[in-house]
Amino acid sequence: MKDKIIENLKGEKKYLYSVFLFVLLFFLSGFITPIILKNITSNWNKSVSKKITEIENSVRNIYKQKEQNLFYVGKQIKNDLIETLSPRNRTYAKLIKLINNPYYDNYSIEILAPNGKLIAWTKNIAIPVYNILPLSYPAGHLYFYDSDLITYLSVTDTIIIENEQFYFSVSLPIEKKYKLNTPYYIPLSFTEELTSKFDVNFKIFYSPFAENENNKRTYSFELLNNNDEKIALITFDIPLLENQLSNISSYSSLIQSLLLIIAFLLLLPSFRIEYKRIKHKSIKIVLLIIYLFLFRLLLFNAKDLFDFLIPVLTNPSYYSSKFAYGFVKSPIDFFISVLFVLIISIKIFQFCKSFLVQNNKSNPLANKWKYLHFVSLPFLLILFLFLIRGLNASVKSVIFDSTLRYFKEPNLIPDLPSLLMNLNVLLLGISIILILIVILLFFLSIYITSSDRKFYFFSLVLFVIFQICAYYFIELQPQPLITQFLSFVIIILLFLISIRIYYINPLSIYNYFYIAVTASIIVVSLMNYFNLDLEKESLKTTALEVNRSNDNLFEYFVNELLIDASNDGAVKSSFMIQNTNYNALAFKIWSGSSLQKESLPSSVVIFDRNKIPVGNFNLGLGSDAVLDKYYLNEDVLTPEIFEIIDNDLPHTSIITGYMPVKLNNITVGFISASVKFNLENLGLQTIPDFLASNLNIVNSVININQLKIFTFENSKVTQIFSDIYPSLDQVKPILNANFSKYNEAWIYLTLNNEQYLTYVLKSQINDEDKIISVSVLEKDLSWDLYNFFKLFIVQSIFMLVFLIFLFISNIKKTTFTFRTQLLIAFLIISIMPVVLLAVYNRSIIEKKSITAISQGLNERSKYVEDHIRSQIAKHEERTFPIIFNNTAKELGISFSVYKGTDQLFSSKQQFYDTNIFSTKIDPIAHYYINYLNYKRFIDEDHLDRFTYQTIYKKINLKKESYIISVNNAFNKIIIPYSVIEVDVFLFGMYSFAVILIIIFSTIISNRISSPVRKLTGAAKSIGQGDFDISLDVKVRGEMKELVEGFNAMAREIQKNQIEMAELERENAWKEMAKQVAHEVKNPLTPMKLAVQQLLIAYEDKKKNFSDILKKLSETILSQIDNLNLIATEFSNFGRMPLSKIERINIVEEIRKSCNLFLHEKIKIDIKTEIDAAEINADSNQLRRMLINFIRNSIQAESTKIMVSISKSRQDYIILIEDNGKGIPQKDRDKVYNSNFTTKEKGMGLGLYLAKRYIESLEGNISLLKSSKNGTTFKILIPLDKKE
Amino acid sequence: MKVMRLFNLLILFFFLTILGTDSSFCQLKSNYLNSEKEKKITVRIKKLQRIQKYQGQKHSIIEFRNIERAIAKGDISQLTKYFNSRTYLNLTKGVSGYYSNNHVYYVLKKYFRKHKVTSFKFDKIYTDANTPYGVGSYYFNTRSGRRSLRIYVSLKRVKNEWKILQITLN
Repeated sequence: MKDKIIENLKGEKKYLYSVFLFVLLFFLSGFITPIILKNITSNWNKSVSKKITEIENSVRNIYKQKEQNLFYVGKQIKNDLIETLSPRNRTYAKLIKLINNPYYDNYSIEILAPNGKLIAWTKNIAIPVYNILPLSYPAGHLYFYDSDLITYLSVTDTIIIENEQFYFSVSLPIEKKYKLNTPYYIPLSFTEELTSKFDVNFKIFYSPFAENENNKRTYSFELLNNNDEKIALITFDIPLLENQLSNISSYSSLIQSLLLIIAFLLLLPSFRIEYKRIKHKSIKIVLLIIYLFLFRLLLFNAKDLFDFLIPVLTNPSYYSSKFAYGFVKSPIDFFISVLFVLIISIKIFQFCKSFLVQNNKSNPLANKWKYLHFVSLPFLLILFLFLIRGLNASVKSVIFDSTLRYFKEPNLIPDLPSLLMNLNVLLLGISIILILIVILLFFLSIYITSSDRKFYFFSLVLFVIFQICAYYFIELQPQPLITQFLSFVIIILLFLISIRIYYINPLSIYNYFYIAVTASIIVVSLMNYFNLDLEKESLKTTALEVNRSNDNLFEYFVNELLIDASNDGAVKSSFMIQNTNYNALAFKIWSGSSLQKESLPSSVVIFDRNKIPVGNFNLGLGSDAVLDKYYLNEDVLTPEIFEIIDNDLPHTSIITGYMPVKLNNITVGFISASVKFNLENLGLQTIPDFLASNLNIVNSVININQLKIFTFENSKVTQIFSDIYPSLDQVKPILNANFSKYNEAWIYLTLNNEQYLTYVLKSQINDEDKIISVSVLEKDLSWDLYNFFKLFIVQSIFMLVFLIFLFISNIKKTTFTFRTQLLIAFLIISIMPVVLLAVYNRSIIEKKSITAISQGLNERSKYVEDHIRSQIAKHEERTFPIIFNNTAKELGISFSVYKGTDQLFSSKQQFYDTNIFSTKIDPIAHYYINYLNYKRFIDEDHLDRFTYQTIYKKINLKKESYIISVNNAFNKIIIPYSVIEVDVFLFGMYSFAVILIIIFSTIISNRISSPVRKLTGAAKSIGQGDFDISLDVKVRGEMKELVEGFNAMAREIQKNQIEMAELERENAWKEMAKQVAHEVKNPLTPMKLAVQQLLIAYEDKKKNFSDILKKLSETILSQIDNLNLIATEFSNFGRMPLSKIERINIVEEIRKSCNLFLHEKIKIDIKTEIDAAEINADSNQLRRMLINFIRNSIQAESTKIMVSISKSRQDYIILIEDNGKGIPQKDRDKVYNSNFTTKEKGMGLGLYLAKRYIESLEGNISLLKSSKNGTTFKILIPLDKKE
Repeated sequence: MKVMRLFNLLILFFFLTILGTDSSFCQLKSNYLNSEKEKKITVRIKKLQRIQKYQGQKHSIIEFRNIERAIAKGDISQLTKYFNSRTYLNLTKGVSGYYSNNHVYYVLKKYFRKHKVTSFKFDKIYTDANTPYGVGSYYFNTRSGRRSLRIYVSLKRVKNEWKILQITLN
């Protein structure tokens, strides 16, 4: 029993058992889960306290880890400082280099001299010097330092060197107090870290004075530092049973989904053998479709599992469509669906290709199809056209139903969702194109000819028919998806690839690569085309956006900001803390609001309890947008919102509001927020890049600066977003536009002799007609190569991976032939310089970009310096702040001025006041300028992920030294080419070039090596004894001579062979005559003697004559038998040439013979279930016979031969079946006759010798059937008697 | 025979797949905490001061009620008829911008699935504005507990039908 189970587990059944095991586990987990839930419910009170303790301990451990890291860094720095500060080595310059080591990048480090002066610091300064000394905690004790925008875990320590006490402080950022919705912002929150880890809400009060909340729903504990002093209070929600149960239930569901998926996957190996045994490929395909459909359904229901495993790819905002009932509701769903469709497409393609391409006329099914062909043609043509439309619609959906902007990706290789979507589109393209090719193969197979010219002519006719049909198909559509030109290109590409598959190289595995390349070119072109549509659509979206941004929305934004801020505990307590940086507070409030998220010109102002403004953060709003204290009323309970009317800006809406902040019902201050909208702010010029939201849709599709926007009220221009101020005549087409029932219109507008595509939207507001027009220069919407390469480069990566996969999977069959070597040589020679050139060009342009930025900053710093100097020269009485302010305003350049290491002035003061930027000079610039005496220095800085460059320049003003700095965070410097543009162009173009090189190298190497391959094959055939060969290769030059020489040689060998055979035969006859004479003589002598004896006896009339007669007659008869025997033996001897009898395997010999024709235009299939069919025979003759059969078939215009070997009780049965033009009825009886031939150069010996050979094996050969659809010969060879 | 077995198994999986619509197979659906309470939806409407001017927009209240009911149930299919060819969404965690009619459905569906609503109602509905809008509080459960968001929904009249112009969650 046990053995039987083990035996079962070893075989294929183990998979089936596993399937049942997983299904069992699936049910089991379903039944166990409620029991677990019940158990948890009943023991909840006990387990919750245990859980709380666990969370507390884990939080302490997490904190300890951070503490240890900080402690370790502190220790390292201390050791380094002891070395650097020793009087022998002491230089402060070295200190700056030491602490600005990239190893300490995550930390903020400050070093103070014994006199309390800051002598070295890192780029990020955590604690102002006045907060380090006097020490707030004993040296070496860890504590949380609450800076304006970030909370740090800090430690301050001392180093005593020869009675001098130095101080150093190391800080690790723990929690950011602001949130920005930008592409650069990196969130940092210890609270969030704990919340997501333990699935309960956490609150952390980074203060030793925070007190426990008396709340039954929360649990609080004190966080102690390395010296057991309280440094913070951590509070978290006590875990709820409801959440716990829900979590367990959802985890259980995930496990169940996983178990079911595994079980379903295991079905594949379980039924692998049965599946292979199914004879009908169509049934196989149907089964596969059913399996994949069910699997897809299963995966569809396992959405939580994917959400859990790969949340980023299940986000429907990256792509989702209502199409296909939710099977494409996220990038990963799209991938799974399209992958399954691709598998099915490949199977259908393989099935139809083998059926259609091989032209199997002898196949009875093909005959049936012949009639169906014509019936199905119109349907197939319609299907073809609709499939192209389906592909177009799908690609359009990918562009329109997604937030991904494929052509505006900031990186060469996009992020994961975009990468996956690119792959999805490629796979979708391949799937549909495979089916389109099948349809074309169907059409191409209608007309069968062996003539190249006829075939290409027929293809051309088909091509024209398809193009005409596609033309009318598009013309007839009310809203065609693509242009005639695109349709034309798609059909050309499909025909090219189909002709290659059908006629040129049907068997090459690399056809799939060519299909992938074709699909990629088509889908990328379509994506590019539909992106144009999206850009046009964005004109509409922009008009909607202008409409959307109305007073109601802004009122809501201001209202929500004020409610949130006035109820925020941290904001409330800020009013009670001395020395609060209210500017930073205003920034924090602004950063978390919709005003930042929508990148609107806005401001937040903080008033103290006496209604005096104490802090503000203002982006793009004038000071008049700040609410006057006159309006503030501390008795209001809800936000008060106003609209500010500015007579100078009649069409600008400014919404402002305020809310008192109350602590224990006492007003401690006021918060005011304002927001403005007018068209000028649409381009976000007022907001620096590092604060601008990446989600502004207006900016996401088309570059806003390319747009011209005009608004009209009662036919008068009210607002303009454009560098062109249009005349009344110019805007007439807008006002007179033919509006649809949706009050919209598309028109062309001519401005400055250039044509603009314009979307016009009319709406009624307060009984007034409001018209918004959005225009873009038509040429800016052109299809360009940049966009094409941007996507093609991504897809080419997939294709190259696919090519490598094909090569590796085919490596066993790959022989390093002359062609392969030639191809590899071509690829190496052509790709190497291309790659080197691309890398070289990139580095050059990268350097040029850096130089352009440096030059831009340098020029600006020079303008600033010159302007300052000229003001000093002209107006001696002016103070520096006035001079600097004038310079910034008049030049429009943002800059800062430092005296020593501290900032004296900045034209963007509020960003320094809020502590977004440090007012201390960059330590590296300080090192180079003040210690190494550089005149200027350019350094790269980071604000989270935002990278910018700053130039620091030393200048002397009124005999004092200053440093001015100009950066490209506030000053936009346009560089000729961005790195991404260069990358796309270089790598895109080069990757396209590489793919073209691969395609052309393959074609060229094929052409060059073709005669050599044919010569090699022919030489092999001659080696096997097939002399009836003549190469027909259209080449020129030496190759032509070589081929002609070879043909001549083959003919000469053949002639010599015949002559030799003749001579041999003649010699053999002579020899045989001698032998016959000799052998015949031997019996003749006894016969003569016997007759003589008989005569003598007769003459002597002997008594015993009758006895003698009898005896001598027997002798004579015996000799006659001898003569007969001799005659038979000679007859046998003369029947066959000398044979070399050995043990041979018929199957093996047939395979060897067929392999000789691998490179010829014929497909030979060997069908057998017998591994070894051994007989005693001459292998050379058997091979010669088969070669002769194949050669005859080729000459009868066959494209396919099927050799089947089977076994009956007595014989091996070999059927040789071709699809050639057949043997005419009148010749069928003569085919075995010697000297009978229908070929020009034939000798008429092939089948004659074959028959003789088979008969020598006591077998039989017969012509089973022959018609114009092909011929079948049947050969019977007896089994060995042993068998 | 084995092919038949294959079919049987496929049918079994087919049923399992169809039955298990939310991957919680065979789990008892009894609720231990009886946490699901009947959600009664009430609409509080702010006193409209300029209502005379916007008589035509009064009807939008009915639409807001429908939208409220759909959100409270977390049933996006009821919202489908309100989606315009382009709808502006501004959800937490980065979803912001104009979404096509096809696109918006699953974006909202997933959002409401992730943030399972416990209660929702419009606190204020303004119909006396250029674009009528409603502001409400949306309470939902997360793994770490109950949380709330503010919803802003504005409508626009297109082809004599009310369409959602914008949904914002803060």
